[in-house]
This record gives sequence, structure tokens and C-alpha cells, in this order.
Amino acid sequence: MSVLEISGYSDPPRIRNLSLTVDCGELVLVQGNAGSGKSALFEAIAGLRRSPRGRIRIGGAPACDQESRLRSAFVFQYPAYDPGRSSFNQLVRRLCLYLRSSRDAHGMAVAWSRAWGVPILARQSPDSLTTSQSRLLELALVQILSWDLIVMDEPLQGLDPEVVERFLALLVLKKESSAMLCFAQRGGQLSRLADRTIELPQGATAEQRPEQ
Amino acid sequence: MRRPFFLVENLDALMRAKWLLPYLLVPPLLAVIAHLESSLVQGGVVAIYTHKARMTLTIWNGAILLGAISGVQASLYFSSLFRSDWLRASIALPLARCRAYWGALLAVLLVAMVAFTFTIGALVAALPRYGAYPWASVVLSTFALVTWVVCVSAFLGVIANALSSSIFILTMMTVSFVLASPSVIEYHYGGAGTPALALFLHALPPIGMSFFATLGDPWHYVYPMVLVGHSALAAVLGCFFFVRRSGAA
Repeated sequence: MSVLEISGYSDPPRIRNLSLTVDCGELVLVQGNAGSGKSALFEAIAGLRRSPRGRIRIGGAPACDQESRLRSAFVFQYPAYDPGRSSFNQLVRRLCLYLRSSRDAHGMAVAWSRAWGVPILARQSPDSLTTSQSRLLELALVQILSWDLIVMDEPLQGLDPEVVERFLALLVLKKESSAMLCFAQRGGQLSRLADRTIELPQGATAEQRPEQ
Repeated sequence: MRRPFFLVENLDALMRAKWLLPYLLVPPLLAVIAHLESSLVQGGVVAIYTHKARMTLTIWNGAILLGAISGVQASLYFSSLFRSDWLRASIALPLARCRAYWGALLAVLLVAMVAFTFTIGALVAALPRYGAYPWASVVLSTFALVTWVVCVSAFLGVIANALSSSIFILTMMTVSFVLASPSVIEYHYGGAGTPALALFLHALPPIGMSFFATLGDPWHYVYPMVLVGHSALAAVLGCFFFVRRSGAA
């Protein structure tokens, strides 16, 4: 069974009858200019937008289902962390949603901060971080935990070049055990990793698989 | 740790100076009101109250001030929170999305209740004691006012902006007091009332009625109960609209 199944998704006039499946071990890149319907599709997968037509299922459950979000990570293009509050506390509280103890969450946040050189230990707010460090913070849950499905909107935007290389190497490792869907205006370095690329907007779109 | 995620996050957000400092306005404003009131009494402009009425009025002054400040603060907080990127990204986390609404409401209510407890506690400590005083009735009635203000702000925060929400709450409080004044009630029940006035009297939250009821003897517990009912209805409606707007199927 595919991890992500989209069937008959329509967002007229930009997207009509889009069908797509993403399996474990696959990275699918959705590419398109601003206004092509990428963000609407992303939000529909994240369960934040009702799709008027079509069906989106994650691990067999509807996208807005709480259980389907337990094994899925969503990285938004906009900030998911409150800019005025401690980055560290916010990250630990998010980790606690998936881990059994807050001690584990604390330890993982500390280890992540050291490994990626993001100075959040001094209780800094996201406002005090550089653009690249803020973006890394947005990607922290993807980096720290294991997921069945990872959906990211412009994941490389704002990252320093040396961090991009390191993050791409991590994605290669994560891909072995996860299904990944990335949204980007231009694929760039993500195209290297992508098993398939879907261009938006498109007319009647059938699933694009290399073997088809 | 999963259950109180939104409560903890909202409490963390509310522990900032911009949300807490306005509550410091209550003591000086209360002092100004008390000063004006005593000059009116001494000047003979207002009849001298009984001790009970004076105490009740002072506690209500504190609660009304706190209600007005909480109303504006809660309107600002909810309308910015419910449109924030942070909340939008957070409801993609594996939590029931109605928790995002109830967590925020409970956090604001907790902060308002702490401010309420300090205000009423300070007034009780400062006021002279004159025998038996119906503390329970006055505290319950004023507590209902603060609850109403926060719950209605949460509902309006989902559907309106901060300015219109604040204006609505302050207007409702003022009109409710004006229409509950003895002269208006006398005018209405004396047979001179119009259907429009009757509609207003029955549809408005009974904040003013609750105030005048605490001055009377016996106390009418119905008004604070109706106010709590209004609050619950507004809170549930707010949750319904929030969940609908956040894209749940």
C-alpha cells in the first residue's frame, strides 16, 4: 500500500484530476511557479484545506485524520515557530508529542542543536537566529525523528550552501524508510534526489510513473 | 504531554509583558474611580450608599475594569492567534484541532482569572468589614462577567478582527448596564416599553441585571447562570467555526 494516495484531486483552474501515489523509499518533487496550486495542494495533504474534489489518504486514513498525522512530518514555507518565544522550548514541546518522555525530547533537542550548529540552547527566540538557522529549526523534526511520510514546501530555501549539501545527504538516508513529497518553484538540487517530478499547473494529470 | 500542548504553548505566549502589563492598569484606574465616587458622595451629588452597596459597587468597579481590559486583550490575542502562521502550522501536528481552540481559550481564561483573583483579593483585603456580607453572590456574579468577556472574545476572534471584537464587547457591556438601570426597567415594566426594548432586554447578556441583582436582597442567581450559559454557547460556537475554518472535513 502506498504511503500517500491522492486521487482525483482538483483545484480548478490550476489543477484538474490529479492522481498521485508516493511509496516508501520514493521522493516525488512537485514543481511549479507561484500561483500554480502547490501551496493549496500542500495544505490539503496537511489536512488544513478541504479539497472540493478528490481524495487524499495517508497510510490509508484521510489526510485530516489525527492518526495519519502521527507518522507524517510537514514542513511549511512559513514559520512554524512563534518568533517571540524560546526556540528550544518550542522544539522540545513538539518533540514531546511523539516521544514518551520529555527527558528524551530534551536530550534530542540538545543533540540536534549541537550537531547542526543552531544556537537555541541559550533560550533564543527564532528572531535571533540567522535565516539558515531558522530554516533548519523548521526542518528539525524531520531531521531528528523517523517518519512514514515527509512533506516539505521549499525545504532548501534560505539554507546556507554547505548546510544544503549536508541536508540532502540526510534526505538520502531518510528516503530509505520514508515516502517524501517536496514542493518547490525550481527543483534545483532536489531534482538530483527525485524519483519523479510533477509539473504544475497541468491539465488532466495522470499519475506520472517512470514505468508507465 | 500531548494533551496540554496548546494550553502550555498559549500560556507561554501570554507570559509576555505586552499581554500582562495592561492588567497593571487596574489598581490606578480603580483608585481614580474610588476618588471620583467619594467626591460625588461628599458633594451630595450621589446619595450615600449603605456599606453593603458601597462594597458591592467597589468590587463591581474592579470586575468591570478587569472585564474591559480582558475584553480588549483577549480580542487582540485571539484575532492575531487564529490568523497566525504558528497556529496554522501547529494544527498539522497530531492533535485534535479543536484542542488548538480550547487550549487558547483556557490559557486566556486562566490569565484573566489570576488577574481577577488578585484584584478581588486586594479589594477584599483593603475594604473595611461590616458584619455579614454576601461574598459568594458578588464574586460569582463578577466571575461570570470575566468568563463572558473571554469566551465571547474567543468566538469573535475566529470570525472578526480585534478592533470590531473589542468594540462589540465594550458596547455590549455598556448597553447591558444602561438597559438594566432601575429607571429603564421601571419604564419598561410600567407599560411604556416598546417591543424593541423588550427584545434588547431579553437578548442582551444580563451583565447589568446581574450587577443590580447583587445590590438587592435576595440575590438572583439566575443572571450569572444565564451569563455563564451565554459564555458556554459563545465558546462552543467559536470552536465550531474554528474547526470549520481550519479545513477539517
